[in-house]
Amino acid sequence: MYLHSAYGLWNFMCFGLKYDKLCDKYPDYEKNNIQMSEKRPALIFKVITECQTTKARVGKMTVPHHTVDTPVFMPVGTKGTLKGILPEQLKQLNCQIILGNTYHLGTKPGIDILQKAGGLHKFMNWDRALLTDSGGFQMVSLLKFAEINEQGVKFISPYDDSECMLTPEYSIKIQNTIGADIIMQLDDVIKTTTTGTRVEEAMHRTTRWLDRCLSTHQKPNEQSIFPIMQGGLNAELRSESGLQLTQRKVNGYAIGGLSGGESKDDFWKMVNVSTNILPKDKPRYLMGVGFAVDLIVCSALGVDMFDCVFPTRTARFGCALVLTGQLNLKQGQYGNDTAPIDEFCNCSTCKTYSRAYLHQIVTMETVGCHLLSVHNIAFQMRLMQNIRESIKKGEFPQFVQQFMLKVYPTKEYPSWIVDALQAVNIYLA
Amino acid sequence: MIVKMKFFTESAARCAARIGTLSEIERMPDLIFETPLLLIYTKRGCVPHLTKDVLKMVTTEQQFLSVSLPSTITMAEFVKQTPSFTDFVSMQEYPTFLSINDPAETTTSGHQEKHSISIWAKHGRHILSPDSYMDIVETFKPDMYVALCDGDTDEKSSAKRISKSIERSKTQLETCLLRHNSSNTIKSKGILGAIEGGYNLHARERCINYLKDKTLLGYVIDGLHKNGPQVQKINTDQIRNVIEHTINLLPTDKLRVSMGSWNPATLVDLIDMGVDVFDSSYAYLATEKATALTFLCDHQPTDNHHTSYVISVAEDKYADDFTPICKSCECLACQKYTRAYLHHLCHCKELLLLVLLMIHNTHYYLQFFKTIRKHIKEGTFKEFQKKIHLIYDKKEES
Ligand SMILES: [Zn+2]
Ligand SMILES: [Zn+2]
Repeated sequence: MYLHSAYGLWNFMCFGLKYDKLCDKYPDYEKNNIQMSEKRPALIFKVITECQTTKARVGKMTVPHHTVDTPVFMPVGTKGTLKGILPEQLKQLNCQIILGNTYHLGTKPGIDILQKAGGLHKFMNWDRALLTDSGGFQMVSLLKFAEINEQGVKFISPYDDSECMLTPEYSIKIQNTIGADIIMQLDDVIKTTTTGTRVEEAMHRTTRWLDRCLSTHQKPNEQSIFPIMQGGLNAELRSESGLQLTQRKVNGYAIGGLSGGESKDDFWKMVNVSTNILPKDKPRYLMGVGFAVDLIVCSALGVDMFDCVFPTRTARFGCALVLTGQLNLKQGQYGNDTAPIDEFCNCSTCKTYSRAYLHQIVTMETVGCHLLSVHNIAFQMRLMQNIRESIKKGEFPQFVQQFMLKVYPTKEYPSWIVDALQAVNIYLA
Repeated sequence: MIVKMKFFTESAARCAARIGTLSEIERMPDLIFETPLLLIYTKRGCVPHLTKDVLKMVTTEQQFLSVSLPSTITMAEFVKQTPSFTDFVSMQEYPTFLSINDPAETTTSGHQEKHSISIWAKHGRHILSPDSYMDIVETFKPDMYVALCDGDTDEKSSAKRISKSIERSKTQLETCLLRHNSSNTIKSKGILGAIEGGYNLHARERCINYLKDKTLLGYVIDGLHKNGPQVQKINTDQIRNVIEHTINLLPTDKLRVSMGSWNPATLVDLIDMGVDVFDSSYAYLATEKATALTFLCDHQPTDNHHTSYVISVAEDKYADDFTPICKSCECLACQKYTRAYLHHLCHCKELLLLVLLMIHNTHYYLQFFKTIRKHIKEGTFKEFQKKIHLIYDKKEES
């Protein structure tokens, strides 16, 4: 059964390739733009408050399914579900937007089922905002023989060894079917630490693929394609990428090619370069970032959206997020600990359960995993809310200083944090 | 004067379906539970797959939980730091019934001694004497519990084994009752005696003769099976004689409990013979097999999916079935999610599958009990019983 359904999809994907070759005409992007002006745009972004010290800002991003407060953290629900947490619970956690993975959803349940279901929102009973990735990153990182050429990502089907191709057009076609509010262009994914001409090639190709994505897009009134800024760790290339992308008509931007093993120094500098180039009136999405200090530093650098699998993944291994890192509740020391995970956390887990009881059930009962996931998502949501509130109150720099002091009580701040914050006028003494 | 948990029934008939009430639970004096009652099955202090906030989405009504030793005995030393088991597991608002074996897990046989019995927890064997058992009871403080007993018998047990089980259970009950009545922390709780005797009518009689004069809230009809999924396969014919014989000997004013994952057809027959309390391990085991209960959905003749007893969401035919598990079910899973989605979750081995199935199956089984009580009250139980048999027996044939 497993093989059967998956096999069907790969055939479809390969078919998609032939189809792409046969049809050179696609619905005209200009025409879609006319339609767009008649209806409400697929995304309205309003900056509510700008921090007077840093580049941080609070915004409201209205997409067809929800109005999202930014800076926002987006939990990852890879296959149309989020680690045993009901959408009803996610709403209680004040979760406004979640992420789905196109590669996984295209494999199972497959676009045929998603089409029949009327899109992922209906299929999974999530009526708030959704974002999907292009599938390219997952392919390159999950499949052994993925290879990129001008046409797209070529890969060998793990089911029948046939050669298949994920083109920019096909990625958008799947994402049109999934129906997320925000969708990602297919980008030319390279290792973050790649250097040399390949970085430049990937950057230019990503722009060319953006144009192909935009011109094939079927639902510009309902879904916004975000281009992905490339350029690796090279500030000039990144600026060039930004320049090219900002010439296209889009509703927001993703900062790609980071959070992949580069040094923290390179990381923050590239984020800083990226947000300097990107227009202020569009949301900026930094892909794959979710640790608390990173969220704070990058919010200060002007990023509006984040995603990461870490909070829910770590819950599965019995770990709960706290300000200073994480508690591994499997450890014996928690057996007699009657305190909640975090006494200041107002999530249903912390209000109800002790560490001692969680110690008994983590990794034994699925409920243990659910309870930690609830707390970990609540932790991320509360952090983002605190960031937004402090910006609104004009107290963001103080908030950042106090937060860092709590995380590093001995004031042994990592130098990259000191430098990054100094770049936006926050000084850690 | 201490309040003691009470069971009351107006029914004077010995071996017939009856309505009763359980009340005056010390911690919750305002609560009244109607019997036939379904105890919600718990493992390690939680309803499997359901966090407390999700459990409250399943039912807003007050529920009674069943707790068993194999999954909780290792918690005892930590429970001591808190006022009671329900405090430790944060289920304070629910009354609990403590049983010795886990109704959903097949009991590991053997190693029962005259003065002790063995409990098999995940990490090995625990030997319980009546005193060490009562220490746990005093720590856990369940609202209702069964005296230590040796129920390690089934239809295959020899006369000698049965005889031993009766003797041991008798000795163990003596000590438990003594401790119960002299303990300020638990004397107000409901204590039940276990009726052993396997499938031997004479042995059952001997056991009841002994128990009759004891001050007990009621009885657990024990020693019929060794728990776990096998219990689902037992049909009434296999147990009718022993149950009828047992219940006919019991006083009518005492509670009768039968633990185990009885299938719905056998369950309605047990109710028809006068059993008052059951646990929901059947709904849990259905969930673990990735199945959804549908045996009450047969009144929708236009929908051919509804003719079966359960549906197995892994089956291919559900891949594009955008209907709920059961159109007339009011649970969250049926209101908001489709079979196609459950099928998808099943094939991705996603945890949410078990959450949604457990929501449905638990809700469904609670509704089943509500319907049973309604039919008993309205005098239509026999027809309902027939209807359940019709559905179940049809499945048996196919
Ligand atoms: Zn919490
Ligand atoms: Zn239901």
